[in-house]
Amino acid sequence: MKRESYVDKIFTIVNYFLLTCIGVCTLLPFLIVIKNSLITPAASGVSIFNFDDIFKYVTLDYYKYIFKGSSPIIRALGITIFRTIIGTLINLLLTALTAYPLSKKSLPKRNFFMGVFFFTMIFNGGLIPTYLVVRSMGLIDSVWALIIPSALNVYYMIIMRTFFESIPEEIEESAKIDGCSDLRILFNIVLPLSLSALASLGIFYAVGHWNSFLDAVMYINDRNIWPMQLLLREILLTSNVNEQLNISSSVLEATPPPSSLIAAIIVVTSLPIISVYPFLQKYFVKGVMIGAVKG
Amino acid sequence: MKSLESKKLLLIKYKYLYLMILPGLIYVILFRYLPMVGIIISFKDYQIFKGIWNSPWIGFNNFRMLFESTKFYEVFRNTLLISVYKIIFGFPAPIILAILINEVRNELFRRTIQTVVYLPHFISWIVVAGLMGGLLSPNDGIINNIIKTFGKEPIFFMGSPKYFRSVLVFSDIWKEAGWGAIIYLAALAGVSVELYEAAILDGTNKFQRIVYVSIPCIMPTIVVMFLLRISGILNAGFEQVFSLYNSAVYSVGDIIDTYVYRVGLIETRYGFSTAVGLFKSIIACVLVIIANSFTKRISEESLF
Repeated sequence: MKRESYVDKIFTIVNYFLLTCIGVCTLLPFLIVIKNSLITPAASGVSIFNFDDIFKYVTLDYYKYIFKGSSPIIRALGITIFRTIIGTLINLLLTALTAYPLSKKSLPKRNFFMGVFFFTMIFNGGLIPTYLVVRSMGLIDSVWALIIPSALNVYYMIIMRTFFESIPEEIEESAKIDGCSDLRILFNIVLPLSLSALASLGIFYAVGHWNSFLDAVMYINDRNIWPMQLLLREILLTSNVNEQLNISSSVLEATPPPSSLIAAIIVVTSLPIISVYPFLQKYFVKGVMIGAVKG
Repeated sequence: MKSLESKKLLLIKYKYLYLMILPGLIYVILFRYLPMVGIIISFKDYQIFKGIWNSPWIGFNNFRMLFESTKFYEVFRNTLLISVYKIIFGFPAPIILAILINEVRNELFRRTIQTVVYLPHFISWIVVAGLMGGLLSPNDGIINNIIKTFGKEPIFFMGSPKYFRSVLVFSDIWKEAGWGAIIYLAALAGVSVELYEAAILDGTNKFQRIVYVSIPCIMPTIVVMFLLRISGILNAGFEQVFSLYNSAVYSVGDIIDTYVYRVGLIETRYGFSTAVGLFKSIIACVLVIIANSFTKRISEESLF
């Protein structure tokens, strides 16, 4: 190994320093909100680094409070978990079913079908016409409005197709000779070979469902089926200086939510998805790359 | 020319494959193509009780109204300005980040920093709006605490037209720069080691190798990503603006998407709102097609 030059050494030190700063800046907003959700305001004079004293002020009361009784938080979390799990399963099923035939170069009229799907990526009917279609199907104020209108993402379908195309044809050929139908080949041979693609698209879809709120804003008026994101939005709006949306009967009726309660709700809204992604890192990195090479 | 007979045979041979496409096809027809038919309401005076088909035609009235309203120009200008600021300040961010991360040799540090910078991508803009409270609040936000220690007046960032666009740009960089770096990291990983070795033999330092080897090697990726970003210039960030804005900053923060939403769903002016949306869709579509033809010319690979 060649000895590092003076300039290189400085570069390395500066680089580590910069990246550490970037990392700290990225985490800072999360750390603040976690601190606010765990420490009583009585600790305001105590430094966070005063470990002897600060732990006296740590409390889980805010978390207990927001989950108390038949809290709207529990219901909203339930809706979010439901749409995330069921929605993602439907997404993956539809994505695989659509992508598989389109990955077959021999399929007659393949380009025509590709075009039909592809065109929806560059042009769309817009917000109101889509809303009217969803409404005419009677989906307004139904949980299914959060799942069915986004049942397939054409971009992810094309990523899946690219992945299917990379699977050697011979594997399927032999099964075909044994008399397997296309459907059985997909489910018994192709999908088990595509677990990494399913994992990466699965996390894309799941994150989308967990974090989505525009569909709920448009299609769900009934607050009993609000997902977590929408509930959080309402809580943020009612305690903020936002005179526009002054909705009666605050979600937490007894007390107007102090900043600590809001902090706890923010943590509850983001923690589930944040605690999952580091373990799936290699999959989603792969998914981004397949999508970039050929989208 | 294929005979009808052989076409039938093909259909039988591929019937399962066609059956598999069917659900996806029905989905796009119902939720993507049917709304395109619904665009006709932008040429109509939509009345709820008459529905799409029986509402009276009014020709280009909605579009005339659109071009005559000063609000539309304000919204269009906001959309472009916010997008351009995001491109100027935000586009280089993931590239710089990827180059810095690529120079890290310590595996643990590298993995840790990657995991950390990907984190904000996984939370919603609503949560970001919540986090901003702790950061930017005029009372006890950390930024304003710093401003106060310098003896200056605290700034109400979220409610001040002067700072709102900057809030949008910075929060966008904070949330998406790490995620955006993935693609450049992949491109950097593909740069051949021999090029670096040759550069080392030439006596270059690390900084020179970044400028003369790394950046030129990932230039095609940068150009393609840039074109893609330009073609999406009318998407200034619907979810972001929707989560962060309030009536105090409409004059600088209201973009086409949020305007379409408010006029359409809150004021229920369906025809007019659809006209605004259509105007955006058509420009966006043309931009994507132009960007793609450029991409084709630059790299063999095209976006589609």
